[in-house]
Amino acid sequence: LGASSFPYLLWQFDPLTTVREQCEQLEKCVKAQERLDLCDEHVCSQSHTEEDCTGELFDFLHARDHCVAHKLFNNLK
Amino acid sequence: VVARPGHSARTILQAVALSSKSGLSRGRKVMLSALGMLAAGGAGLAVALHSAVSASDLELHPPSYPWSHSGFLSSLDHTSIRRGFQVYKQVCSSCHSMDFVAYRHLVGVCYTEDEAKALAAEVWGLGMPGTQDGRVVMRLSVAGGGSRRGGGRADLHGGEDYIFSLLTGYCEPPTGVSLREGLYFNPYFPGQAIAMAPPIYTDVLEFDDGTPATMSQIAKDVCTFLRWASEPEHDHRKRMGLKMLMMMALLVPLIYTIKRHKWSVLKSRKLAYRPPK
Repeated sequence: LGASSFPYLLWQFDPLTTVREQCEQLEKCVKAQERLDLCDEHVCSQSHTEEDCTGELFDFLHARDHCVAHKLFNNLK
Repeated sequence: VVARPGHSARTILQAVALSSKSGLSRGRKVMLSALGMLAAGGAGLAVALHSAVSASDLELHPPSYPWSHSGFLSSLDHTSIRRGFQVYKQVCSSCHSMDFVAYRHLVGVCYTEDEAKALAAEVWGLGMPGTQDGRVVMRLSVAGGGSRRGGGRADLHGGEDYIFSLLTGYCEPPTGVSLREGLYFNPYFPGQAIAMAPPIYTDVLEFDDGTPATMSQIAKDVCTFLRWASEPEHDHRKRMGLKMLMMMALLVPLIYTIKRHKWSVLKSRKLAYRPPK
């Protein structure tokens, strides 16, 4: 048993990165990413604000997590 | 119910109303079933709402990962426990102690007795394991116990899903969030500012079975190890659960049948009112 028996595992390559990239293409994640980007712009443009984009980040992560959780363990030993 | 001469028409009507077959009427049964379903639905709604993100105190709940030991008949993956122990020992134990787990507890779980003795011997560094009556009693703890950096105790309340998400979830803080020196952003940590720096990364250690030590593999194995450490009776519990279910599968229908048989006498009782001639 070693790296050679797992086609998805190459040295230095974490399947988590690949699965996250795949999941980020989903429509829900793309939309959440757009909202997050909008929030970033909005907060950056304000000089004095208490606002932050934690909520938008959470929405994005929640959507991505759900997809990642389904797929990731298939690629782990 | 027997009516006597002299009873008024009202008492006779009451007697008639009381003379009926035993048990609940159909209407009552329907109502009770409906109430039961409503209660169950309400409980389900409460659970669903609880896991939603509330607006006031933001908390990101971790997703449910398909752990191989999730099923009610599924044991822990002991190869994973072994790797997870290596992660704990080589990465985590520098700050986190485990006062209630001894090397001898690993025997039969993920190491042979000789291997466990060898591990304990390494810690002493003198080639002399801490033995008492031949049993290895060295405990998996930092001298003095606790976190050296004073970072506090690891919060394990969320289980494997939480720890896995936490370990793999470190990321840049979103716009508008700044953290003071010494804190790191982690969306899963309550308050999102954690004193622990990202502890694992790909190849932070080597597994003795040659499994590629990617960050997610490391996180998965250490979570499995922690599940075992916090619940060493896990496999035994599920074995007992299976035995219990098998016994109940026999006993419950049997007892139900006996009960219904005995009660059939009363349940089929009919009471009749016969007016006096």
